[in-house]
Amino acid sequence: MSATENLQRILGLNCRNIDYVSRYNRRDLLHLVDNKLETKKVLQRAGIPHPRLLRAYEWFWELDGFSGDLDSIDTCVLKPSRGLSGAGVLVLRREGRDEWHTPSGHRYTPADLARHASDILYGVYSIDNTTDTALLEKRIVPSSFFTRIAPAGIADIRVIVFGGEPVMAMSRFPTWESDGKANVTLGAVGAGVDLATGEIISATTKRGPVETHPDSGVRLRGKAIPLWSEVLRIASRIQDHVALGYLGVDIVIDENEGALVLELNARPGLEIQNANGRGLKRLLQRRGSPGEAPAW
Amino acid sequence: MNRRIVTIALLCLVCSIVVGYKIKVLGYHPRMVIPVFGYRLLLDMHLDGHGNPVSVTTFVPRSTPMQRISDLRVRSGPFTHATHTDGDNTVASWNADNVTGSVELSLSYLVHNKAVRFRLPDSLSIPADYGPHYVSFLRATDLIQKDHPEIAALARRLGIHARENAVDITRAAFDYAADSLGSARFSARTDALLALKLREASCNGKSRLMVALLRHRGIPARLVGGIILETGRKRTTHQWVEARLGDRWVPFCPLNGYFAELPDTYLAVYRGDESMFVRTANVNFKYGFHIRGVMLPRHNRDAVTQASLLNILNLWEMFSRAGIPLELLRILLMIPLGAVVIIIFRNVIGVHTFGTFLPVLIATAYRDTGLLWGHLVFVVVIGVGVLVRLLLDRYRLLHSPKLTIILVSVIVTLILLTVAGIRTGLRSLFGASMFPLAIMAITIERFGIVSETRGLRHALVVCFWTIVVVTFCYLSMLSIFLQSIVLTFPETLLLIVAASMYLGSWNNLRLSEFIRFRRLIFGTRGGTRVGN
Repeated sequence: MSATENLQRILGLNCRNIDYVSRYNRRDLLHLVDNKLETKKVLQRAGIPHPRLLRAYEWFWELDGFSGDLDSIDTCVLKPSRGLSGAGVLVLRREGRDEWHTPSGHRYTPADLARHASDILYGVYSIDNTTDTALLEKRIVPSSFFTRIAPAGIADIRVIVFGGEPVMAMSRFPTWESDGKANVTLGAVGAGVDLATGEIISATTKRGPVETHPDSGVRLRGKAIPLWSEVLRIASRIQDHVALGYLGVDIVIDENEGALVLELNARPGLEIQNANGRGLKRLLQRRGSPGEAPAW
Repeated sequence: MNRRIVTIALLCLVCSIVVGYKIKVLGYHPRMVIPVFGYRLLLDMHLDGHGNPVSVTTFVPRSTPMQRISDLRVRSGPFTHATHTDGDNTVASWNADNVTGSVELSLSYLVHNKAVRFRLPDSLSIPADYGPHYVSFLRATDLIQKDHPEIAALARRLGIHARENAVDITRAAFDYAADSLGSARFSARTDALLALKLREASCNGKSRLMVALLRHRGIPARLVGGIILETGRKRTTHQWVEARLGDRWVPFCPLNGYFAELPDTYLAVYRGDESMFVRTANVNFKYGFHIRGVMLPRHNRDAVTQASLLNILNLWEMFSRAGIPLELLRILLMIPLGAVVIIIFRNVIGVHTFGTFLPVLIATAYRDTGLLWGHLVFVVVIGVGVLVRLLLDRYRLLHSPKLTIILVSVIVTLILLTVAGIRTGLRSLFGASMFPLAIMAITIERFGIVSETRGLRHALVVCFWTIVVVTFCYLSMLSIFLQSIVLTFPETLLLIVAASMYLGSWNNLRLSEFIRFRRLIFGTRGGTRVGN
């Protein structure tokens, strides 16, 4: 296949913004995905599984009960509702009465965590530095399939859905380099997943293609993502409830609860093309145009 | 077929129609946009006060058909500065009652000079009476002893007495002053008689003797004081002669042998037998002229006369009469072009910069510092700000208060850089105080956030590209040629709209994405599938 033909298949940022994001994603609905609390409410109403919200703190006086709320929990995630690329997210596990640890080994006392929560409310981590809401969420127990490949952090699955149909998928495995974050630009592994079978077909890091996960050495190609048909079914259902035509759906597999929607993204990144070893543009064009004014 | 393409075509069409109309009907000439070579002259004056009143005066050159003076800038320190008209001259004065310590004064302006050459008639009679206005140009003075017996004897010997043709007389006086009198390297003040006795003189002695001979024969003549423009630093001033021939003042330079002509390096600063500086004694007065070559926009005076709604030059003329500096306006009109440069870098090349239009504003601030010093100021301010922000980290402050503290660090840094510029005489650093403060503070905050979320390396890469884009913005916005185009043909702004409209829907791969997706495009991928 010639380079010019390959060129026609690749989706660039300009094309994504002009022909997909600005055409199919209404600006007045973006808050549904930028604000994780609102996303959770929509998912709740639609009956789509997601990590359970333990408590949301919107006002400073609500933080008075913060330490008490922690008493009944052993693992949790504390995160800003309108954060930007993972900033301010703490993944926590209790290691004693008054001590909590993150996967990278940082220690926090309940007072430290209360201060972190108040930072979130102040808007330190929010997209536009205005006030925010702190979310205390149930911590996912990653399925053993993922922890065998990526021992650190929580792996997830990114599915690009266009007009209600999955177009491309990738599984993201954190590494030590990415500090447990499932972000390919920070050093995580992106693995392209065959939509039909759920099998990993190729993998890449920001430095180029890889065959194995750099930490565990597990060979990636041919591994089948568990609950794949469930992942696809959930991804396709999202757009019945969130009327954004071009969406990145991030799904995690919990050992006990199965496939859960972690968050939604109205401007999903393009690295998924490198992970899959193929361009996205032709696939999107093949789906046709689902209508500029979505009928949802 | 496509609304966008039709609009772009329309914009281009309207632009070319207006340009065409201005050229065909209003007499604009495409040559009008080509810049001309000129000079920026800076006169630096230094003095030390001892608690007494101090006064300094010098001259500001006037615009004439031969020389155009613009963008006058004065630095007065603690002095009261004033200009007034004195006969043919404009006098700039600085006064202060109680001066202690050392003081810097300066005067700076742009000069666009033309060479002149007068075609003298073969024969020109000397009128019996020139009228009261010319009496002073025929008078004897202490230094121009036109009636002294030795000057009279010289006039007789040169045959000046006997002749009636003013051109011949001028030629004889010029030839004597230029050729028969040796050229002295010393520059002390020499009167006409002394020059004759010594048989050698510098520019002022030769000129005074020529003036004395002309006045002796009844031809009005005067000295002209000025500067020969050459890039670099100099203290030497120059004097030459103007004689009233027919109804014109015609220039002669006996020292350098210019007869009824002057090259384009002669800047006339004052007329008459004056001193370049008049000042209080005992103040350790020092001065120097710094001259550098610059490109200047052409002054299209001829086109200004045509009254038409489309004749934009009338509007600019109106602005400059109202005291709005055209220099500033010129840069403001270039901001859209700078914005297009940024769009190209972001959407076509695909590099990240801090802030969308930040590079344009930074480039505007570089107007006073120049490119290299501007970059230095930018890097130092960002560096200091990032360090301050790092120190602030432990206090866990809210966004706006933190930004305010960073703003203080920006201001302090810029003031310190300006002080450093004054101390070391690096004028380029003076412009540091023109940097946009709030925007610098926001840039520092962005740098901090980017280095936290994407790593310091990425933040430095973004910083690097910001500097690259600023450079291109600067080069396009500060280009006198492009400025002249926009100022003469502001309808070119329609082309900017057309370009933005084109780029706004340009959905091809960015250049950087060719690298990002190189394996997919050019690719033999190790063990992975290619194609759909």
